[in-house]
Amino acid sequence: MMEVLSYEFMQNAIIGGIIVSFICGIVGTLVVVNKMMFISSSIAHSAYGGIGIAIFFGIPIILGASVFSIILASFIAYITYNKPHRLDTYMVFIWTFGMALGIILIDLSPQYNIDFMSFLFGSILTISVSDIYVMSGYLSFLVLFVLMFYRYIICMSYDMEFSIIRGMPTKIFYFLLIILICIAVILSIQIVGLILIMALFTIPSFIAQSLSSSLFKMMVISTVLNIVFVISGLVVSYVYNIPTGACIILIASVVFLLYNLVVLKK
Amino acid sequence: MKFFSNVIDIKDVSFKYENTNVLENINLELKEKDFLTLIGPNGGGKSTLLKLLVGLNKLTSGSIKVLGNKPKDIYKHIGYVPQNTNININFPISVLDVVMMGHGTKKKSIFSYNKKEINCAKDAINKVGLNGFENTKISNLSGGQRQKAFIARAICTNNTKILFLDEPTASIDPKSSQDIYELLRILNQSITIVAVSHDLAFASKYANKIGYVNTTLVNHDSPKLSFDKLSNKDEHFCEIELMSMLSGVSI
Repeated sequence: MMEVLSYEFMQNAIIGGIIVSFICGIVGTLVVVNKMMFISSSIAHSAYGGIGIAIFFGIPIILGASVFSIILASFIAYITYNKPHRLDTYMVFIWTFGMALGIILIDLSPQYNIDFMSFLFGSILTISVSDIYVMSGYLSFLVLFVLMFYRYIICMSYDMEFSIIRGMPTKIFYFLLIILICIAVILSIQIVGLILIMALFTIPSFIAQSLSSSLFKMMVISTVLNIVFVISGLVVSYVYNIPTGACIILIASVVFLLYNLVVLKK
Repeated sequence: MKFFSNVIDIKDVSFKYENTNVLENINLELKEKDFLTLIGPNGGGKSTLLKLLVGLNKLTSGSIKVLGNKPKDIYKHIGYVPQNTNININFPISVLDVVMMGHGTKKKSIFSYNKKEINCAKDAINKVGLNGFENTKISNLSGGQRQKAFIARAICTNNTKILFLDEPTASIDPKSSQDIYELLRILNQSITIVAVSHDLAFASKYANKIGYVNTTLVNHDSPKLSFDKLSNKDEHFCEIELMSMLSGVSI
C-alpha cells in the first residue's frame, strides 16, 4: 500500500486533492450560504461547451473551459442580480446550451484519443505538476480575497438588501463571487468531474453549517471534511480498483446520510 | 446634509414593474418622530413603496427625498429591517456579528471590527433587550428575538434618523409582537418610523399616521380615534371598515 506513495502520479493526486479540498471548502461554503447550488451546477455543466470548443479548436482545455464558463457565468450573474424571478429558466438554458454545444463540437472533433469521460467523472490520477501550480495560484488568490473582504462577504451573503442600503458595492462583489465559483468549478472538475462536482461543494458545507457558529469556522470544517473524503476516496479506489471520483462522492454521500440520521434522531 | 423641512417628502411617485402599474401618484410628507404604518391588501404595493423609500427600487417617475436627499445618499441615517422570511436562518453567525453589520464596511479594517464598533453594537443589543445573547447563534433565537436583533442592527450606528420595517411582526407570536411594538414606541421618541404591517391593532395603537396602499396611497392622521370608534364591533369587521374608510370605498 505504502509503495504507491512513491509514484509521482499518486503524490500529485494527493497534493491536488488537498488543494481542491481547500478550494471546495471555501467556495462551497459561499455556495451553500448564498443558496447558489443551482447556479453552480449550471456553470459546471455548461463548462462542457468550453471543453468542446477547446478540443475542436485545439487550445488548452482548462483555458477553453475557463473562458467559456466565465462568459456564461457573467451572464448568469447579470440575470440573477437583475431578474432573480427568471432564474430557473435561464439556469436551464445555460446548463443545456453548454452541454449541447460540447457534445456536438466533441463529436465533430478529429481528436479521438482524448478521454472525454474524464471530464464528466473526473481523473484525479492524471493531475500534473502544472495543474498543481494553477490550483495553488487560484487558492492563494481565493484566501487573500476572503481575508480582505470578509466583512463584505458575510454581510452580502447574510442579507443582500441590507448591504445595498448600507452602501456596499454589492453588484461588483456578486459578479466576483460568481466568477470565483466558476473558476473553482473548472479547477475541481479534474478531481470528480463536472457531473459529480456539486457534491464536493455542498455535502461538506451542509454538514459544516450546522456545526459552525461563524462563516470562517464553516469554511475550516468544510475543508477538513473535503480532505477526509478525497483522501479516503483515493485509498478505497486504489484498494478495490474502482473509479476514484465516484468513490469520493459515495463516501461523502454515506457520511451525509449518517450525519442526517444522527441529527434527525436528536 | 441639506436643509429639509420634512423627514420624508414623496411627490407624484409612480412605479411600474414590467408594464404593470404597482404604484401611481403617491404623495406623502412625514415630519420628525412621525410613526407611519402602511397597510393594505397583499400585492397593493406596501413593500414596494418601502423599498422605494430606502432606495432598493428605482422610481419610474416622481421624486423621493429622505432628510432632504436621495435615499442612497444618506444611507448612514437609514435603518432598515427586512421581512424575517427573506433571511437565511441557518446562516452560521452570532447575534453580535449580525448587529455589527449595521456599521457597513467603510471603516479602515474590512476584516475585523474595532473596539468602538463592538461597543456600539453591544449598546444596541442592550437597547433592544437582548443582553446576554451577544454570542448566541442567530438561528437559536426565537422569531421575536431575531427581529429585535435586526432592529439593533438597524440602529447600531447611533446615526439612525429613520427606521423602515417590512412587516416586523410577521410570523411572530402575540407576546413577542407586543414586545416589538413597545420597543418601537420607545425608539419613536427620537426616530421617525415607517412600518409595513397587516396588524391594524398595532397601526391604531402605536402609529400617529396610517397610509392605505393599494396602487395609490390614502393618508389618515390620528388612526387611534378611528380605530377606537370602531372597537366595539368584532375585529374582522373593524378591519374591513377601517380599510374601507382609508381606501374611500364604501362596503
